[in-house]
Amino acid sequence: MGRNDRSAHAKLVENWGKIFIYSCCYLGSLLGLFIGSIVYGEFLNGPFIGFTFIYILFIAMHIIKRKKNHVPDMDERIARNLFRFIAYASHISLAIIFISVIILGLSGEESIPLVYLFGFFIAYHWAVGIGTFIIKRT
Amino acid sequence: MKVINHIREIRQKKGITQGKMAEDLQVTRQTINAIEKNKYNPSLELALKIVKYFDVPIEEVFELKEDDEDGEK
Repeated sequence: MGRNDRSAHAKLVENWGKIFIYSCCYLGSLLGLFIGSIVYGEFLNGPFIGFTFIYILFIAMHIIKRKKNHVPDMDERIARNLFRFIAYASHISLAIIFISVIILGLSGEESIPLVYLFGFFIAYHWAVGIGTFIIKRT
Repeated sequence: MKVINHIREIRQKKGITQGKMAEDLQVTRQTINAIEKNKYNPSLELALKIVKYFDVPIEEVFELKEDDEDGEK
């Protein structure tokens, strides 16, 4: 394989690689649903609609994000901003947990339901995810 | 003491766009904009890359501006 062939393949993979991965995941999930329908005797419409929606969403996002230039997504400034944001977010979250535990302790609660903790962790991950998304674009 | 730069002037004199410069230096366009507005000081590596990119002495690009509080009084 010559150098030109390799660069042509690299361009092909860059353009179509993710679409191929998404399509394979989608076909795999459809196959799983099909096997499930054979085993359990009914086709699950809910997961089918969900998988189709996610597949279309990912393809659309890929097409929108397809880059026309060769500018990187990440550089030293963004890395530094992300580092600072995550450091702040984690410390603030720890502070919130600490203060919440103190308040709950003072108010006479002897135990905290697990669902509160899971809710907090999910909220933390959402906040960090959205914050990262915003920082990468500023 | 504050580091200021003359990247915008040099870039415009050479007729280079922010996008082209970002692509050549492998940074985002927003970073070039932040550097030009003196909101972000580039790393030594990036600063040297910028100097090499413009092919000018470093003093012409970056300048250490001293606080002139005494001068104002």
